[in-house]
Amino acid sequence: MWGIEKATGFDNQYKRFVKKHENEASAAMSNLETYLAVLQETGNTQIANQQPFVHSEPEGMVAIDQRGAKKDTDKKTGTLKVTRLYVYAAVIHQTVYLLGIGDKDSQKQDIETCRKKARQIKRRNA
Amino acid sequence: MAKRYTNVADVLKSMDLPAAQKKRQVDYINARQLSRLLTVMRSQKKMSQAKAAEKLGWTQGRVSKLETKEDRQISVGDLLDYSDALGMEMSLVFLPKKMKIVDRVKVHAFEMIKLLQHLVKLSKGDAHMEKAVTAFHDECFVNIAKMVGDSQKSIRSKGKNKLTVIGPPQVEQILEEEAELAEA
Repeated sequence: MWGIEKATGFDNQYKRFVKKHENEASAAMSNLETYLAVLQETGNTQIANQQPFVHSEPEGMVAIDQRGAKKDTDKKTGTLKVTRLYVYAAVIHQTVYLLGIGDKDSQKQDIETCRKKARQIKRRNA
Repeated sequence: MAKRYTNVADVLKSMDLPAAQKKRQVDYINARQLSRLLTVMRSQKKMSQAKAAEKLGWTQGRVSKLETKEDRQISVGDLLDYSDALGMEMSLVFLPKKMKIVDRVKVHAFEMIKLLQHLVKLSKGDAHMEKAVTAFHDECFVNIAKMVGDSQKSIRSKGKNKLTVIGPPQVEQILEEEAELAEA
């Protein structure tokens, strides 16, 4: 059965992000639940990774976006922040590792940090 | 060793977030169980959203919107169309709110018996079909008995290994008994 584990530092990063962008974070986590459900029922990472809210990233990671997020009606612009929840699905251990979360502004740095975490996980699991 | 979670709601509950914010996020996830199921069913059929849209005569955007909607916002009409596009049949079950799990099991068991009896009715007068339905009853009996047995086994506590103590008096007795057997 597939499960979820948090990589080091995920909690703090999530806490900081959700403070500014709660709707986007909720939607990304809801999409993560769907990603997990697809993995559970199909056992196929390719099918899970083909979902429209999933984006391929380096090192076998994927980024889950904020599709379906509610727009705050009291915000002036009403636009949502493009969000990326970075995860790595390790097939042998049937585990989805939560690596990090961020927006377009921090994307480059987030990918680099999460890549290192993904490599550490792969080495640990080897 | 890092803690392992089976669902996202538990991940959120484990985090050091304000209680109200945690609840909002968990409620958000729980409010989309039906739309999530639609995505899972489509994925099980190895169908893309684009393909589903084509079968429905909808835009892909409309399919995408349905698959992220809050359950209360999904219309029965959309569910019927979507399940049709997937070659699925939709059935609804209404149960009393506080119905016990044991009673829910019984409801499903009675529903199963109704279907078996429907098969029996359909097979009447057709020797070939009666034989097949009889064989299916045997198959059901074995499979269901096994499934229930396996479920029951998982709740039985494993017997702890008993400590066997043998001291000199017991060893002497064993040797005497073996000697008697050898003479006999």
